[in-house]
Amino acid sequence: MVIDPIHYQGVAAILFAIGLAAVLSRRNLFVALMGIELMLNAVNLSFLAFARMHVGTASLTGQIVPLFTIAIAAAEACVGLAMVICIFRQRDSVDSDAYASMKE
Amino acid sequence: MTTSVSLFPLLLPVALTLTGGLATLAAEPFLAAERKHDWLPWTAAIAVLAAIIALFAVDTGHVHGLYAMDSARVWLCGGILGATLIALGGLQASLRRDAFPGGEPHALLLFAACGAQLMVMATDWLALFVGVELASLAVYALVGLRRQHAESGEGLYKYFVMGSVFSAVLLYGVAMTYGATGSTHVGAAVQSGSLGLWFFGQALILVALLFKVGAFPFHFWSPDAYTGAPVAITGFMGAVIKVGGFAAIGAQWLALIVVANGGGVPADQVLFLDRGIELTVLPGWLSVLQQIVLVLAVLSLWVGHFSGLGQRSARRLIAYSSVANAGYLLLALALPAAGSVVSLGSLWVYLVAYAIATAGTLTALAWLADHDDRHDDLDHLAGQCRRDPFTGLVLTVFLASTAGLPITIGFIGKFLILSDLVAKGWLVIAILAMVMALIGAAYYLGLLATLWGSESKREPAPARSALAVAALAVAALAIFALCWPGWLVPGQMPGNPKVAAVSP
Repeated sequence: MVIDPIHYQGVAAILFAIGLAAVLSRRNLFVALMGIELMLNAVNLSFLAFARMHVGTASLTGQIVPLFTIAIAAAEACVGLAMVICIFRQRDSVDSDAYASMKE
Repeated sequence: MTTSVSLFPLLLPVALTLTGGLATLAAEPFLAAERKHDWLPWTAAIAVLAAIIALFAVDTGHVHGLYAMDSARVWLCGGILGATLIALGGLQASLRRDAFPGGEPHALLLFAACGAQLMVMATDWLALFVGVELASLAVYALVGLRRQHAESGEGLYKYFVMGSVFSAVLLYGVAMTYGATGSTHVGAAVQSGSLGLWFFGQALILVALLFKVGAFPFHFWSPDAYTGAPVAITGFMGAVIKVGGFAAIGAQWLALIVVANGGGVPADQVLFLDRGIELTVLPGWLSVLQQIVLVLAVLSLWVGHFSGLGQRSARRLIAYSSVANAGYLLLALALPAAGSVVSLGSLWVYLVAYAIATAGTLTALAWLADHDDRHDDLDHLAGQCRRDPFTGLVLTVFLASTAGLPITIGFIGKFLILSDLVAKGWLVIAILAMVMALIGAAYYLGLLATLWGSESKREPAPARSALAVAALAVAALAIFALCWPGWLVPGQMPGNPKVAAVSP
């Protein structure tokens, strides 16, 4: 079987869906943060696979974008972990069910 | 083509804001704890004032197709900086009142303002993403400012997780757009056979931006995030993120029209927001997208106004008001019949009116809400305006503008959006929006009646801030002054669209 760029798109879409499912369904804060990272990395894979399909400067764009994304994902993880520490000090728990006291 | 020669003046307002943020951050460790809230807000305010002055001097043009400046963008950046100035005053008053140990919130506020300005100026999806993240990350930290409060942690958690998910959705949309066009430029021509992929990518980008501005059905985070944040921050995040988000939605909308016309924006040209584009044909996909946007707008109005009616907390009330206002703003995207010119002047006017009034309202409420913002419910706020007539007066002006009473900028914004809708042939939706606006006006005036009504039973908090007094007074005057005929930025008003939005 020949691996085409379109197969990479499939992998990226599956990874994105797994990340999204992890964020929405898992109650542990760390797993939710890992899900967000997975979603961003799935997008990186998608960019790189598209970069293989384009030529010249168009291809270059797709290779540069993941560099930005990696830096931004790192910054987001920093804020996320700071948030987890902050919340853990209040509730002694990293389970998101403990943070559902607000209502409509 | 604008070359690097004009790079500096174009980005000068952002650079000055950033310098102010970095300067306060660098000075913060060297100040004694009790002096931090005296010096840092003023340093930050001087930087913001310098940025506002720089806005009068910036050129029209773009920087390598990444960031652009034109009269609409100057106007929107002015709205962002004005809201930032008001929020700095509110932040100074409430941090000093609560003896907050640390001066970094002032820097975070300016970084968020930088991010929002970059969102307004972005003409490239990657540049937009960087701006969105810069604004969001700073706002996440500001929402979680009151570390010892449980509701703060919960509001931050919900906002952060959903915000990050939708940032990833935005980026995935950019990836698909790149796949279909070979470029991350806003409005780049679609390669043959890739229209489906491109449309899916654009839809994902639109969904993510609708989340950022808190429109229905992506509004569920806003009441919790608004309640978790300190009152002084609530107004800022509502105003500034909405200006950035709607500027991006407006730019995307113009880009969709360019592509619908069968063209594209070349890499060395950009879309200017202050000009109109002729819609030569209305393809099916754009028509469907427009109908979805209009339905979401009407539902936002409905949810915002009717869920807000029963709220007791002033912050939740303003949160639902922001959902309703997102609805009015979305109505400005309605398209006319094919062959007419589309311009978004009414969107820009309403956006700045909303930003200034919301930032002002919440800064004034922060003042009345007492230590740790614990008295922001209507029972405790009742009669507070009588205790503090200055705050009461400016609050009245801001709420009158939000309600859309005449001779305020808020009235001009609502009038332009509704008259645009009628002119474009959407009479039924315009009447519906008009009815909603009346319900909304009742709700804001009801809040005012409570605030001025019965005799207050508690002393107002002693917190005072000269910066907040000055900023609120200027903002309240601006609410009236901006209505002066001819003071609105030329080329912004509908009926005066310059065709050909794409320009070198």
